[in-house]
Amino acid sequence: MIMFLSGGVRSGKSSTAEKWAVQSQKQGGRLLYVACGQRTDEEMDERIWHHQKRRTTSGHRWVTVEKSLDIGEIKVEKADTLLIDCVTTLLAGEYFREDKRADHAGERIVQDILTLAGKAHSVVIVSNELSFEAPASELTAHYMKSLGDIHQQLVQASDRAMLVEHGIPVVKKGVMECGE
Amino acid sequence: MHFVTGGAFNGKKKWVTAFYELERTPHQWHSFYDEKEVPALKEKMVVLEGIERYVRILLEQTESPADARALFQKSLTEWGQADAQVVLIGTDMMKGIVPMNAFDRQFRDAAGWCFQDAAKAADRVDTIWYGIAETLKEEKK
Repeated sequence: MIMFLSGGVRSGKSSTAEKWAVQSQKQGGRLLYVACGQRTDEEMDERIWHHQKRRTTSGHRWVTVEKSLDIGEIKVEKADTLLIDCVTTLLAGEYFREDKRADHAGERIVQDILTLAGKAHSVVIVSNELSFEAPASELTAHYMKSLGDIHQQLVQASDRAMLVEHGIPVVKKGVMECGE
Repeated sequence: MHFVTGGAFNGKKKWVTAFYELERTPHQWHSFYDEKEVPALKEKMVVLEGIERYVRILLEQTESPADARALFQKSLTEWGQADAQVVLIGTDMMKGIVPMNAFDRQFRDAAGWCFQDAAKAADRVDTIWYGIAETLKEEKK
């Protein structure tokens, strides 16, 4: 099962994604939190702390995996549920790494995620909405295109896709029960 | 007339191609990204891509958002009366920070107004989110 959700900054998408992951957790399976952000400064540490705190007080046991590149290499078991947070930080890592091509970053990410989804019980993927602004430069335009292409492919591969607006989930694909 | 919009890189073109089965339907595809001029409509099925770019072209000519809009409305009337299924594809770029540059602000205003006019003139309006359409308007023919 692949679930995709996207939203603006601080739209409540991470908590919704965590809820989804917990609900689809299989008995005996682990809850894996794949943290893709790179610790670059104190502000980033603060963000990470905020997310960690929510998970430790959630009453569920999360195993955190910090990986911002080649996430397809993460060792998963058949019963595991993964929460990948998030595609934009993954793209930042894959796009600007020096040992591999930037224009293949999107393909690598989609491939890695589908590999994990093929091995695990379910995968919940979080991403950020693309901006509606005219891109400021060629680089921004290419970066936006990469992110848009990834989103299109993930939505197509997903069983459920939703857009979270101000904490309210808008279902775009698949069916959800009320209160889920 | 059918107006298809949504953010950049959301799969609008792909959706239109699949929805109208364009791979096996004779059609005319005009992109305002490549051609500045409004084409003569030659087929029963016509797709006009890059409507926001067309608005930009009109704004460059008139240097006034209101005048650009008036010209755009004329085009809409022609397309609406044409003996063809006309599909307009336009990228929504109206949800960002106010641009620093005055022309960019005018462009955004003009595009916003023209998109409202396109939505009004169209009998069907869809917005595309990563390949999935949400129908905002659909009138019975």
